[in-house]
Amino acid sequence: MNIELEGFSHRMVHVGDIKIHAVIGGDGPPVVLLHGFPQTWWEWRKIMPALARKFTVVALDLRGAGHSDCPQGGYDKATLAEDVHGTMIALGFKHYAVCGHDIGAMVALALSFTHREAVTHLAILDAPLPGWSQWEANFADPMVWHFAFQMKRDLPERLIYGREFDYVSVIFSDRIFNHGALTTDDVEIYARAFAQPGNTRGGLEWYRAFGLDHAHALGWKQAPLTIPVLALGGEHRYGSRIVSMLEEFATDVCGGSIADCGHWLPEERPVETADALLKFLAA
Amino acid sequence: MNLEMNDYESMRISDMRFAYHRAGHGGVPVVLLHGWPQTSWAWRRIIPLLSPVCDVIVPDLPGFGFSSKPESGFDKRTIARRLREFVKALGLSRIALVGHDLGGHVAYAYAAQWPEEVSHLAFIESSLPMFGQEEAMDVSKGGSWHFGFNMAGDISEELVRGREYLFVDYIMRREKVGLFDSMAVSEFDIQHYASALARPGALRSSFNYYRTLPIDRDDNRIWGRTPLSMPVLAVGAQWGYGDASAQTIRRVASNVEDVLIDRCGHYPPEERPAELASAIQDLLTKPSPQASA
Repeated sequence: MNIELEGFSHRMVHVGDIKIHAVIGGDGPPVVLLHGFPQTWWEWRKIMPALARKFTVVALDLRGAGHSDCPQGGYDKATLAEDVHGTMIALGFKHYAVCGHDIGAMVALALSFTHREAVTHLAILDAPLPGWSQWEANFADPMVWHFAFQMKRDLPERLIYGREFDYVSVIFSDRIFNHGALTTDDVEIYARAFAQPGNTRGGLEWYRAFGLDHAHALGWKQAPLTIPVLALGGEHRYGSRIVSMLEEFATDVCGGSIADCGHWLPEERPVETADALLKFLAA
Repeated sequence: MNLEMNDYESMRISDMRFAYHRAGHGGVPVVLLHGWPQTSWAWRRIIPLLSPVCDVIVPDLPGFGFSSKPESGFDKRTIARRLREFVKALGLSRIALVGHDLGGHVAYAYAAQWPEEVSHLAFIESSLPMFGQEEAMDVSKGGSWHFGFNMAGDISEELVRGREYLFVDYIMRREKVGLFDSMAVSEFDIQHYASALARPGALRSSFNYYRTLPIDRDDNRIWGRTPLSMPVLAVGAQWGYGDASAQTIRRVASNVEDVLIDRCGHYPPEERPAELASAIQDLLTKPSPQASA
């Protein structure tokens, strides 16, 4: 299992008290890619080369995932956004575009509000967002049973331990349309990352911070974003609902549904996802 | 272990086999239905208190304990149909029904379908889809995570397999609605439930009681249009569902009295057996007009 990508280099960036793992390559204006659960920077592997032809691409592991640190606290999305901003500043980028998927989308949204001076474009891929008017009602969706489970402290770590592959593969397969998008090796890469000491807890902590995230986002949306926003949903998951969701947070929103796609856009439909991102970022 | 529970027999019905305790052999027949994730063992302290005056029948619900693990049919309509076959096979035509937790769902499904065959109903720390359960399931309003987890599918079995003790212990000692008196249930008791849950098919069956809640909701909607008229006792616990059990059953029954037990969590049969047994005995003294056949 080769988890390197040709043309990209790996760095550990010191941000405050922790280290963030960043994968960097390409040339041009910077764009930072933020992965979701239960993933790492690896979810962007299929679109990074295409983006790197026009942009400097930074794909990082969020606090709690991959090779980044898993401290005891700081898993609310505003703190994760500080990690991202600190990483970009350390890499020499004062202004940058941000694209987030799933949990990474929540971080991207937080970052756009807390660092308005830095974020030039915001792209959101298939995620329910704290602060959304349907955020609480969305908990009744049987597809997000894992929200409440993972928000419970301690027990999930014990039940998932040693069964990370099974857990991760069910999370993927229940929400995928194109089953050819992920190989067993890919799932294994995510499962091994999730099984690293601290990483299971780290991933679950993102969910345990939802209460705080929701409160933060309800405040932020009082002053909507004015930067360009791209909202893409997988046809078989959030679909075009993602556009009206983002219109609650921003005044300049485009986007829609990616056909024949579940929740895992950059892996299920990399060509369509990369095309949409390139068009959006170039405008 | 009490002597009253040494008698642990089997009864075959058309599509499965029940394991059950019977004690007393005289007086009013009372059927005690345990909750999730338990077995007939949950009634160990109630049986000796009722057996002097009642014919006490305590089955393991289908899929639990030593009863069969059916392939399907975990909606409460089907469970109640099986339970009625079991009751008929014992030669009984009219019973008092006592249900705790999911056992309360089954007791209601029985009483609603065959009201003339149920003399009294006790509904203990329980709820019903369509009549209040949804609030307990709404995690955005403080509901419990375990509904979604139990209903999720094969992954639920996969995660709990081999970790049944951890799971039962955690469930029974939950922050909300867990045991009030931690010592009311011993390690031995938890192990008893955990071993039962570790038998082949037990986890699947146990979770299927939750996966069928949407079916139960449709049944309850129809049954609820005809309120139960037999005497009903609702038992709530101060540290459990509080008065929610009474509120639920009042929506589907017209002759309800309720009791709220202080300093008690979600498990009154194990935490406060004396109070519960005495409330059940009071219920059984209420006149229950025999329906004209």
